[in-house]
Amino acid sequence: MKNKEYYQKTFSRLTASEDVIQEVMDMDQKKICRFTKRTAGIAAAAALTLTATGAAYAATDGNFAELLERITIYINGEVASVSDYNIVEDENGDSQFVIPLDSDGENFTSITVKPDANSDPDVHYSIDVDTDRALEQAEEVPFTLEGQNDRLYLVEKDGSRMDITEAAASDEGYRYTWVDADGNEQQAIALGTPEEHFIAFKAASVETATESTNAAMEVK
Amino acid sequence: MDEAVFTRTAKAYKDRLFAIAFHYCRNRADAEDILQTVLLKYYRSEKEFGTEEYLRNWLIRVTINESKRLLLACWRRRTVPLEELEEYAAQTLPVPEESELFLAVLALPQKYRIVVHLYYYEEYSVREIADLLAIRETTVQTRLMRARAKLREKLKEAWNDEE
Repeated sequence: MKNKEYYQKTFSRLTASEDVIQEVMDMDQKKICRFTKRTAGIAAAAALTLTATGAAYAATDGNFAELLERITIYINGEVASVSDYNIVEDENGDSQFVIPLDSDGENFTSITVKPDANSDPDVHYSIDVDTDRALEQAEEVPFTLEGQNDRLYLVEKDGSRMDITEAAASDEGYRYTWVDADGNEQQAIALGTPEEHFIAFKAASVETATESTNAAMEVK
Repeated sequence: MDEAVFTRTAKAYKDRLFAIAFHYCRNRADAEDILQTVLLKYYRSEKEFGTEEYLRNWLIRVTINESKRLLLACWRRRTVPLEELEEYAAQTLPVPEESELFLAVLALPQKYRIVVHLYYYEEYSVREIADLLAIRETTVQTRLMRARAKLREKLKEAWNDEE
């Protein structure tokens, strides 16, 4: 059998539920709002955690969910929806908030908000258009988190498990350091509870503003 | 959008968009969430798609973007344990050779997985994949080459007629 045929036969067995079509037609704005609030609530806890480690975000006292409600972002003169964001740390340990922007559903761009001691952090921003590196980093994290019996476990690739319930729930989170295939030291932070948990990771670099995207941000 | 048009398109594309999302997130629940978001965007879209090819490319591009967005969301667990994939393969793929290919592909790094899928399943050319992912053609070629080598190493003679 040819590779293409073999591949197509195998992956044609992946099928989505028939219900999804009707669900989409029934879906209303309320559902989307609920999703957004949930995301913002959880990430707000993360913002507080990371600011407690010394990466101050002066404009908001660390409450990024609050900031999220106050900002309006424009792409090419049109208001862009802000539905989610991701927290990373730069090489200096400063927190940065990467907001994926969705102007028309087709183009994936994100805006990075970072504090700058020399300017007003409310209006300092840069555009990050390279998300692939961030995705690679997420994949390289050599452990997973598992909630079980009201405890949170860090599970390494060799299967060894460590109970990190208390550390992950603390302001600092549980910090895990490893050396990647290129010999660089990497660090990820496990945060949350046995029910809701996630991994924050350091960003190796954040792209600076590109001239091709006309983006602007307003803070109320 | 007209419900009949939406239903026809959604039925025609849902499985292939689901497969693309699955290559990113490697679990059914997230892949269905992504599919739902993509179809919702399509349902609400006022775009004139013109040709079937343009519609297909748009849906695939939006699926890729939504997949990336979900993977970057900070509340999501970042990796899926191998056991979960093995369990899913056992339920979905009764033929052992297919199960082996499924697990071998999903064990590849994410940047290889999506290139492999667009090439072998969607039958896009290297140039078209480069356009869809906004990367260079040489990068696509390198990723394909490395992915094939990894698949050959794992699947031995089952993956042996590479051009």
